[in-house]
Amino acid sequence: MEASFEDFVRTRGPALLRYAHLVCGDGHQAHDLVQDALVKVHRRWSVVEVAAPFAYTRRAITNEYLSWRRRLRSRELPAASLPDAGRRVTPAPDDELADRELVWGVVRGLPRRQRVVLVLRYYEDLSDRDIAEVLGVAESTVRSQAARALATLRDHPGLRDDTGSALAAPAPRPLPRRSPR
Amino acid sequence: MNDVERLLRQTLDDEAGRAPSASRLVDDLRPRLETAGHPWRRPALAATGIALVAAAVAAALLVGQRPVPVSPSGPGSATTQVPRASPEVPTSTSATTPASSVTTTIYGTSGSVVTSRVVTGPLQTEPVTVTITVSSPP
Repeated sequence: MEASFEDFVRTRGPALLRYAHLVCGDGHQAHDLVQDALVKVHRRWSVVEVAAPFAYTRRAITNEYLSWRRRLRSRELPAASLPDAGRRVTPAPDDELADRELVWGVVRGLPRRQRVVLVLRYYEDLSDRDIAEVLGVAESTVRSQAARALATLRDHPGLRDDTGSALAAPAPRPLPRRSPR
Repeated sequence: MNDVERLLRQTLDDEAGRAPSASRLVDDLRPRLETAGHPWRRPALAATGIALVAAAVAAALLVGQRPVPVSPSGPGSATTQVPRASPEVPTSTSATTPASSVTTTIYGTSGSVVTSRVVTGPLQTEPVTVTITVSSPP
């Protein structure tokens, strides 16, 4: 293993694992996913210098996660019903922890591509254009996938307030707020 | 940002903290990289690959240079398929590969040259069909 590659794995490995964990929702699977992607990146690493190694590896993780081979291998089945469907949550600060658990359960039940879009948009803070590039789809596809995923979240009974309406009406998407990870 | 999006951000931030530790990543990766390796960097595999390619090229050249037997006995015609760019009909042909021209020499049974001609055409990279027609003298 080249020193530069090893340095890259040591310094960016944690961030890659966090990303993989969020898209696949399982620690062990995330570890496998990152390793599979890094093996592929390493082949290219030795041939030509990878310009943006983190973005390149993140893309490899995404492709690996969305690949039909991995889908067959993991045999993940969509949940028949979303978790805690009957629970009503009032969005008070002390209930936020419960809300987050509920949201995470809903996110894990989303179709893979929608989940990836949400993670890239709300965790990695990528623009829709960058997400489209990662996924190799049109920007409009990214927007529609995100809209569907957010609609699933908003429509979840546990995430509605006492009046039965969603937590908040949809608003235009804000610009990224965080510095790059 | 609406509440759902805010909640989603917080949830993802929280959940990211539960990601597995990366402390074993390099150690776990090392044996896999050694197994996967780079074929072009493994001397034994590289030597085998080169030998196979050389054998394939030599076989292709031999096939290309081999005379193609076409022997119409008397008036009539015979057809044969000539591999790639070096047809020898029936006994001698010179050509370079890839070739845009092929010199075909036909010898009589006593060894005398019956006819010799240069055929110029498009680059031949696929097998070509050559038909020899022998006519009775007028």
